[in-house]
Amino acid sequence: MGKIDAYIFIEVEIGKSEHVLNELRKLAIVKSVAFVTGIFDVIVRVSVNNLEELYEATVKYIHKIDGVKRTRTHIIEKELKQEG
Amino acid sequence: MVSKKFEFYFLALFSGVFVSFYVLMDAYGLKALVPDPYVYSFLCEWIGLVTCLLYLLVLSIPTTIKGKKRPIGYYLDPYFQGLKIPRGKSLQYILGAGLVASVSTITYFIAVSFSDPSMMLPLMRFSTIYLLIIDFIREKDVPSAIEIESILSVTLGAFLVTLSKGKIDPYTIIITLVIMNGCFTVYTTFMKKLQEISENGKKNDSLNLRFWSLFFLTLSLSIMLTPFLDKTRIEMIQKLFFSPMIFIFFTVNMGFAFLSYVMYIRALGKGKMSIVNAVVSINIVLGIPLTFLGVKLAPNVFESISYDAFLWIIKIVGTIFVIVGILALSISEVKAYILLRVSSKHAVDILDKIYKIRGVESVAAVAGDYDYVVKLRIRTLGKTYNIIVREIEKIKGIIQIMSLPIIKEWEIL
Repeated sequence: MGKIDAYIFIEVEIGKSEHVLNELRKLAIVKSVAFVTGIFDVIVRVSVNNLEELYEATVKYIHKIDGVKRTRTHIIEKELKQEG
Repeated sequence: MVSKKFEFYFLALFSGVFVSFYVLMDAYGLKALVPDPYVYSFLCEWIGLVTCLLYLLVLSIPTTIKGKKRPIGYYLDPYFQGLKIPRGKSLQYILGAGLVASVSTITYFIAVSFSDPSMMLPLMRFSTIYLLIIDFIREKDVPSAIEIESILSVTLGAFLVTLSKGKIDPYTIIITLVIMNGCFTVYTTFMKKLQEISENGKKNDSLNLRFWSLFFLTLSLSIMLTPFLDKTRIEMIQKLFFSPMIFIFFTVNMGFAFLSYVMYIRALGKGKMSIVNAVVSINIVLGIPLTFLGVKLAPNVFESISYDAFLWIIKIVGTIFVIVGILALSISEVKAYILLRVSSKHAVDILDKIYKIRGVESVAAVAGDYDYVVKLRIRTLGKTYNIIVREIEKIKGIIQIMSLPIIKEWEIL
């Protein structure tokens, strides 16, 4: 079975961004972490083997990071991407 | 985690580093081993082709990488799947690239025979400006001020670094600016094109591209060299081809060239041609310490460097221009996420339409609050606005656009 990729948009409490960032970068399923300006603060891209793993990662790990206020997970159904 | 940008500049920079290595070896070889340029190029290309094939065969040996069976060449280019014969459109472009490269090589030797080559090197740098114009036409987009500034800075800097007190005649200028730079521009454009087309769903890899373009270059160069090969030159080739010393020299020399071209072609697949070329210009700067090294190691071959102070000031100014230009290019890049909501009626085919917009690195149809997540990679934030307003808003069915410029990003390669 192929991998499931998803974007997780995260709202972070003021003053906790450095901590959240360091915790996210420790996660093995995390492929990229981007700090953005706008309605969210961090956009994380994850790659998992199944939905169970995604659930585990969000509920048991990301939600427990001190400073994570709210997350919005968007599972990728189809993607066009420039290779490289 | 490192960024993709890092990979692009790594490839282009090291391509330039390897160029400076083989240029130094060429300078040594032409003076100490094979003084005749025609014989030199004939030997260089043929031995180069043989060793390139050997490298490719070694790189085709299968091994296990991350649990999958892959050839060793995977480390140099992830698309490499062993030696394959080009077909269809790819074949046409590779043939074209080989031909123009051979025209430029033979022109170089003809020009060297009647003029001072020291003036050709600085003029060769101007092909980057041709590529800037082609990038501009290809991408249907005005280059940003920082791009023009940096590329001009690198090109003029490289011009100054290579400048020497040689005689200059109008023929050399015309040959260099029109034929040689023209050929090089066409070669680069073809290589860029080859990165974009795929045969039977498989992308062209840089290793095969290098080998087959060298193959056609060697064939067509040999045909063009034939009228210049008189009896003494043929005897010389016969004698030198089987000399182990010469063979080892060209194997190493063409090994550097191989690495440099593979990295150059891969970098072309990742960014604008003019920027790749500007970054590769680092070899001009590296050439200075390497020449000193050459003088130290082989004082009888390399003339000791005795430029006057005035020329040195010009060279230092040129070096600063090159480095500042490359730095400015690599620092100025903006990425942004764009989140889109669409009305359900129009949800078909939007993925393709968005993907075709210039600057879009990836577009994903997602399930959640938003319907699409688009990732942009552009030069300035102003361009983001252009892309959003002009292009994305034109697409029917999009009801909400949310843009999130990226401040900092980490990626796993």
